[in-house]
Amino acid sequence: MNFPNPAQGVDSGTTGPSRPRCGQAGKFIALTLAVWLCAVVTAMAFIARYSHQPGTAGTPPAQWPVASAIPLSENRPTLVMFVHPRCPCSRASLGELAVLLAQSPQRVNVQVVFLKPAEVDARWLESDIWRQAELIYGATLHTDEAGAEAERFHSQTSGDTMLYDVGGKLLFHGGITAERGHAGDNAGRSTLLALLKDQTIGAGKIPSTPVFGCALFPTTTSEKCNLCTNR
Amino acid sequence: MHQPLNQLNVSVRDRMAALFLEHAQQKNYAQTDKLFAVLMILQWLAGIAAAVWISPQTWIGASGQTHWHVWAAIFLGGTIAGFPVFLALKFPGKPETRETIAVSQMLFSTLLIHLTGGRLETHFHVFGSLAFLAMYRDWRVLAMATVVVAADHFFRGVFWPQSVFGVVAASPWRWVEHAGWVVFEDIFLFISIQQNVHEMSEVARKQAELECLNADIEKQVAARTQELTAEQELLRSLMNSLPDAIYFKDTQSRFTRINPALANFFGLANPEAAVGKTDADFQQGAAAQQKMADEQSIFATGQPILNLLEKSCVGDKSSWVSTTKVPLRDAQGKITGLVGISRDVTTQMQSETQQRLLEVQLHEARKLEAVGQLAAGIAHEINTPIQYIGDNTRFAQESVATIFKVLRSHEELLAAAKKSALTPEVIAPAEQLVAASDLNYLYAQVPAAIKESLDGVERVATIVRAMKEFSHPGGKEKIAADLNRAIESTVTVARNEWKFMADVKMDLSPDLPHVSCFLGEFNQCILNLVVNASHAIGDVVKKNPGTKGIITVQTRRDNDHVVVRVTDTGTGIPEKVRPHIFEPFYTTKDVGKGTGQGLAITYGSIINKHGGTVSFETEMGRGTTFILRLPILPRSAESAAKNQEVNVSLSK
Repeated sequence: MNFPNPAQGVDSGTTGPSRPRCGQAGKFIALTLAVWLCAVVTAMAFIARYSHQPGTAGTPPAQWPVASAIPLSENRPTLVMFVHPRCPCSRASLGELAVLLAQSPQRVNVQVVFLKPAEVDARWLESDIWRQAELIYGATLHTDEAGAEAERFHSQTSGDTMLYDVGGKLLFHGGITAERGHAGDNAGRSTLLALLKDQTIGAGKIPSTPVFGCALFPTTTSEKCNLCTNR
Repeated sequence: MHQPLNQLNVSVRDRMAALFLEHAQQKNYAQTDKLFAVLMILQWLAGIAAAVWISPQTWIGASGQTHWHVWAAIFLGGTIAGFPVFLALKFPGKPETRETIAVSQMLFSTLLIHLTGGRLETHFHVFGSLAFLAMYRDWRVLAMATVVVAADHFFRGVFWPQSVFGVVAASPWRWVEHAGWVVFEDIFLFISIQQNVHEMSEVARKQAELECLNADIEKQVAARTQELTAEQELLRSLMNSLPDAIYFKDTQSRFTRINPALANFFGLANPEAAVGKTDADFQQGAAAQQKMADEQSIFATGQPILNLLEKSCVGDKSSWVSTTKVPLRDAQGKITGLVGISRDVTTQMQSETQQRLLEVQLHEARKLEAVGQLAAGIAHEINTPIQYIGDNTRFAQESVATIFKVLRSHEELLAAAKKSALTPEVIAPAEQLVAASDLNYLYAQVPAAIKESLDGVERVATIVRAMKEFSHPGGKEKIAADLNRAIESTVTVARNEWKFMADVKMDLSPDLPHVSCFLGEFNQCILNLVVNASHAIGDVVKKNPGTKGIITVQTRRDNDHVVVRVTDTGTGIPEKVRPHIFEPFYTTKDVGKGTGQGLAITYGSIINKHGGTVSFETEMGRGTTFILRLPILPRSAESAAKNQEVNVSLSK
């Protein structure tokens, strides 16, 4: 290669010559850079922390509520997911649900229940999340008027998922994303896959995972989602 | 072929460095900074758009509020973008600026990945950013970005591996794999940067070489312009200051430029008034026509006219001028005109005429001087025969008187015999007279005296004839002369100079052709050489009284030359004297004996006027030979000039 000799004052940009730094301006830049970097890193850490803060965990009934309008399958496990139709974080939950179903060793009765608060009309449900759920093969979509079913199943956070066996016994509840709105491997999905392979694992203890999503109800109804609303 | 850097001219190298640093690299840094400033703003806006699009609101039941992501996109994105934008605008081209931009760009990747929910596709922002950062052509920028990516993956891998690796339990070294892919891209980008930098350096080199070449050319042009200006000034000064007439003409013999001297001669107020005119506008018809004819000959043949003597008449002014005209040619050799210089030689001609007249007079005076110097000897030469002619004549006169007395007594005896009166008394006086007259002596001596007198007369006649021939004034033109006869006359005239010191041996070639020469000057040369030879021998004779030397005069033909050799048996010429013997007024003789002009005149005459040569051979104690070589036929001035060199052959 025929680069100018750095000793002759030519900065090739590749050979490591000394480069002029701008005295006072350099100090100013360095100081400002440090402050800026600290600020940005702190904010990024805060956002990361926020992303990993779960919503209010639900306490679903251990036995399928008889009053529920959601059909319980008699020949396969039933998976119920409560979804806020406008919660952006729930896209990841639905995405993970689709992956779960694709990987499931057995057919599952999938019921996706969309919250419809009493004060909104039906068009409120028309969202890309609804359309995403419609694309999940085998999933049945429900409109939960005024959140009756959610209350019935004690669900507080969008993305909350429950698995019942054919006898209506609760096998699992929690979220199926690792963090807020973030797709990818997660403990909830893994647990569900394991249960669908063998419902006897866990020795009677009902496994649960954190749920990442918007609050389905105001704090008067359930604990306020300190992640979605803690501003 | 590229010249190695260390062999480049120092100025080229310096300029190349300056171009590379200031004009290429620094410019690229600053431009890329500005591009990134724009990109940062666009990314910021894109982040906000993505946040608004993907997660505009967060919900609590039917109550929606602006999502944290939107605020993060606005404020955190603004912070990430704001500082590098500020640096790019405030400190473009600074290393800190582009390194901050590299960090910022990677942080933007992190933010965008987060805003898009960790979408795999968004990770391509990292690789796109690296490619974009490579526009800086600075490996440090890529290194800085890579460090940020690696650090981000490391910390995320430690604290939230799922957020970056998409798995719950990742290897603690998983960040190395991810960073490795970034380094993998860096390698190609580094290579690309090297190539780009190399190309930039080559461009800088070529531009530097071009600039230096231009600078050299401009310097040369400036120097040439200065030279041309100086030459123009010199030409102008020459034309204005020289008294000679200087003029330029086109091929139609029209003046294109004349100097003030010629303008003055033409009676013009300024030289420009002559432009476009010809000689016919200023001079009389015949002279002007002759000049135009001469000039047309120059244009036709390309041959210059040198030192042409011509008469110029303008109005009532008339002068003789020596004119030289030389054709002017363009770059292709085509004749475009001529330049002429005419010098007024009227005064010079008058002086030369007068000088020639003076030279003739001087020559004659020298000849008369020589004759005068020889006069005493010549007079002595003539006096000797005159003396004995007189003595013999008086002897003859007395003898004739005695003889007449004897004859008269015999007439008386004859008359007595006729009368038969011849008596002893009559015979006795006659017998006494015959006895007293000594007739036998007279019979012998009178014819001898007469013969001797006639010889004396002949001798005088010879001397007089020689004098006459020697003193012949000659002419302005050369004549075919018999050099042998001229030499004999001169030697005769000079006899009194040499006869007491030497004998003269004449070795003259009988078939010597007549030679074209100025006879009078030739005689003068021979006289000078003979007199010098006599003087040289005289110095020897003084030391050896009673002895005599020999002067040998030899003539021979040598092809188209006649060679005259005058040899003496004198002292020879000392070595220190030899270089000076032809110099005017140089003499080693005693005061009154020599003027130092003899050999100088001989040299000038034989070489300059006859186109011959003069040389000498000398040996101390043995004598000297002067050799004159004269062309038989007249020679041109050029060949005469070649003979300016005097050939001197020396022997010890």
